[in-house]
Amino acid sequence: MTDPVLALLVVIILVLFLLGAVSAALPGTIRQATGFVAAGASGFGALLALLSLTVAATDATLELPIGPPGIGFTLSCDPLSGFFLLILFLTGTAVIVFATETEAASDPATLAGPVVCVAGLGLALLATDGILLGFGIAVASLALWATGEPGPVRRTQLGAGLLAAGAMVVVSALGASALGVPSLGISPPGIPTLGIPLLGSTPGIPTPGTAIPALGMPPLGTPSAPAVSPMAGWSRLPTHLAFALALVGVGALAGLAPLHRWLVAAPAAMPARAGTLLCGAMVPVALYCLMRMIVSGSGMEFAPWWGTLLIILGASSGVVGAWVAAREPTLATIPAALSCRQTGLSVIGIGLTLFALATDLPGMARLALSAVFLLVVGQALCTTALMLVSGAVLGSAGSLRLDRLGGLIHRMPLTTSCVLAALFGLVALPPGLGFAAAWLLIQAALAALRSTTVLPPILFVGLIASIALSTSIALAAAVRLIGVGFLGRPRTPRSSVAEEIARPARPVLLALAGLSLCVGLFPGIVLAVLADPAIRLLSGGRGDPVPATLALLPLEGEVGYVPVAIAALLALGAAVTIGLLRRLGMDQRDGPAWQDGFARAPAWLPFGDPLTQTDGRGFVPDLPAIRIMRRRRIRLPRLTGQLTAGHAVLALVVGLLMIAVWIETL
Amino acid sequence: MILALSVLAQLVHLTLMLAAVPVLDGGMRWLAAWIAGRPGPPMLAVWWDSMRLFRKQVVVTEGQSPITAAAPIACLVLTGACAMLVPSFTLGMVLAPCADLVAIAGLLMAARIVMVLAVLDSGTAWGGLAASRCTSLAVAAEPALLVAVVALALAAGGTNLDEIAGIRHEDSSSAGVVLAVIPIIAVALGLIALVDTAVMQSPMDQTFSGGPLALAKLAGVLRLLVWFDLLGATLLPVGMARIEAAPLDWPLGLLSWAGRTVCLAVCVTVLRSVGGRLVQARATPALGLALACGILAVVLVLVGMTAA
Repeated sequence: MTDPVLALLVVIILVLFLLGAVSAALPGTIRQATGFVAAGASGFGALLALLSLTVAATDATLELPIGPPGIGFTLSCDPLSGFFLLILFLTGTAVIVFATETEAASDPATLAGPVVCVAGLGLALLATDGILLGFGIAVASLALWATGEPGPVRRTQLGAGLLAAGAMVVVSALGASALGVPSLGISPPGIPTLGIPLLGSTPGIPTPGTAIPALGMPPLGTPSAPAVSPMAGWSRLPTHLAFALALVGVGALAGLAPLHRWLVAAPAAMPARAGTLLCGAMVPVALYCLMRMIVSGSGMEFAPWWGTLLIILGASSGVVGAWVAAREPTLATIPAALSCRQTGLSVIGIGLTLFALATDLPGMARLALSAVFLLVVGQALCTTALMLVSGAVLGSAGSLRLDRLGGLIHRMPLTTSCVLAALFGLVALPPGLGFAAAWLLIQAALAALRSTTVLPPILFVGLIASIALSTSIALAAAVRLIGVGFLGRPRTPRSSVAEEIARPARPVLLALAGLSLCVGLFPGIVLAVLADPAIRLLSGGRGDPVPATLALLPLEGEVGYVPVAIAALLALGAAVTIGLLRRLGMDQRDGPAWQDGFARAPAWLPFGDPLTQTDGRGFVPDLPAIRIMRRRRIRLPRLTGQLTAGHAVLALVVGLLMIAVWIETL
Repeated sequence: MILALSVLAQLVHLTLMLAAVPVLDGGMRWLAAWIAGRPGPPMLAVWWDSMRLFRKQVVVTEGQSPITAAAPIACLVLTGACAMLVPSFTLGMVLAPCADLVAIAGLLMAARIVMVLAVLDSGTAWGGLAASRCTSLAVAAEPALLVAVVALALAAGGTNLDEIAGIRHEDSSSAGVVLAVIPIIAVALGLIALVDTAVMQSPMDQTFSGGPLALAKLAGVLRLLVWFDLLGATLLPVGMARIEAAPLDWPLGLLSWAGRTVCLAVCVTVLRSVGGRLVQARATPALGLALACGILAVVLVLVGMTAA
């Protein structure tokens, strides 16, 4: 990447900080203009990020004249940062435009939070050290905290953000101190850090055939090299501690089960614009932290059980997120729960990547990372669209509860179409974006198993079943959302007079929905253009590049999943069927719905008896075990209030982690 | 030449599917009636019923959305796409590179979901109950199906249906592994197919009328035929022709396909007649059993691969 691009990105972030800070003090019309300027700056940032990905990257760095005594902060934009910057600025542009069009003229605090949040996250993505990364996340969390309603959810949201920020700082400090580098997480070029190439990782990424002198590691790519180099004694401990700490921090911020409850509840306790940024921008940045730290080209330095742990946590998060989505009652919390599910699937992909890097299987790493990048794109585009729609529905229909909506497709047809497209990008139905990601994830898992020694068979079977279960439950959640909230009859008078989303905000929703459909139709090309540099960076330059084809290909074989062909087949079939039906020319007449012989509803119920419509229950089967776990809560009023099954699982995971560390150090 | 033959094979396959739909439905109805001791309907009853429905006036439910109007067409198109992708009498059709088993499972699920949305759009009590029951069963069915697919893919080396069906023609260790787990996967897929075609049906008669109802019914029969072809191609592709030997092997392939389909149709009809509503009442345990069979098949394939 050329220096001007990085400099312009920094300028954009500074401009966004400035606009966010002054917007609250400006009068209505000027504030709205400020919002458009901020949206333009964010959109220009997305273009620059796209430029950095498509033009040959040179990993330029920019020294800042500020920082701790004797040390200057450095900003950098490698392909991984560029990809996530593109995602961030796309989401940010949509949110800022939406907020400007709908609320900026009336509410002084509308713009400040989203704009500062985007700027903070942008700073975090450009940071090369833990301090700046943590600072960016903390600023973004504070900006969202300021927009939320007072209450425990808001406090938890801020706590999760600060925990993640603190974890990044401590992780960098651990890595630097273990190497004896006299700085907090700044690794000079050429010196790989202690398995934590998070900070200044680009210069330190080992290439095939190069040894890692600091750790005494064998050259990467050497066939006879052991898969994982066991480090004797307690010298390995800081790495494990850093991993555990970072996992807790990132897990809390990304809503990884069992730390998902706050993320599901948060969108209902804050404006739609803040909830959108939380799920569509901050969660991807948390995944970026995990990818930056764990798979930055040195997966061989990590213990294999880290991958196992990530797969278990990701699989549980995928299933739990989908399950919660299928049971949540509101239009705001369901996308948040689906976001948790996407995060879980992404973490599965990162865990598989870790395995692949540890066992020198670059093809499998490519498949898993491709799945992760598609999942992140789906999370950013589709969750953003759904959250923005939830804000519009709240303003228009007066409620977010599914059992108080219904029939919105008649009053809000365009919004409903966008919701359908967004859900199509999240669930695994061909030829959608979600299906492409799930297909790649399944192929990566299959490739893992064919290598026989990578994954224990039981874990593999559980992984496949978890992906399938998560997929099917998410589908049920999506059907429930669209079927109960948007189809059928209106359940309240207010929902029967809901109005379509404001005209200027419609292009935003249409663009998000259209982008998700396009990426679903051409996932191979999108991956080759946007994600291939990052995939090669993460896999240490090993393996083949992602082919820029219309088909997604498995590890072995020449045939795979061809979404365009399936879409063309469906379009042809639809055209032929509709043509035949038109030739038949069927007559139509209106009539009441058949109510199993019951009489029509009386005149004072113009939309029928609301109690005869489903309220969204029963779309997933009941699990008695869940009820038992909920009943047996241990109340600890003087501490945190309640100790739930989720906390018990967390304690179990931490305990297992400590036992594993202890066993390895023996 | 191969390309022309593969296109021709695809067209023949399409004609076969369209022709088999009314005959299959009529035949199964006739057999069920014969088992019950009644005179059955004519073999082409579904065809005449459809023609009659197409001539009737369509009753549009008050307050229905465009989704209900589009649902029967979408369901038929999605199921038809599956029918185009699943091989019947020969391998190597022109759409064979797109015949990914996971994608076919997704298309079948999409066809199901479209009908569920149409039922929900009616806003009736039974519609909500049927939709929630159908979705709830799909939650259990999809993992079972995917685990069975993975067992096949592990043994065959890929998720493409042509590869899975073609592995039996090769003299390799994988073919032996596939043969060993065939009965288990057959039980798993058979149970899923039974539940899918018998229990997870949306109440079409109360949602649609006229031409849309005819389309929905045709899609239902086509779905059953897709399941038969899927079971035949993955578990019993005996006599299936290869594109290199076309068109000389096609008569044998057509005969074997007809034999497989008739056998499966007889089995399903007998099971439905003898079992009555057993499948409906025990759908969830049946899907659980299918999942257990799938997991067992995966483990056995793994053991076989390790031993090899």
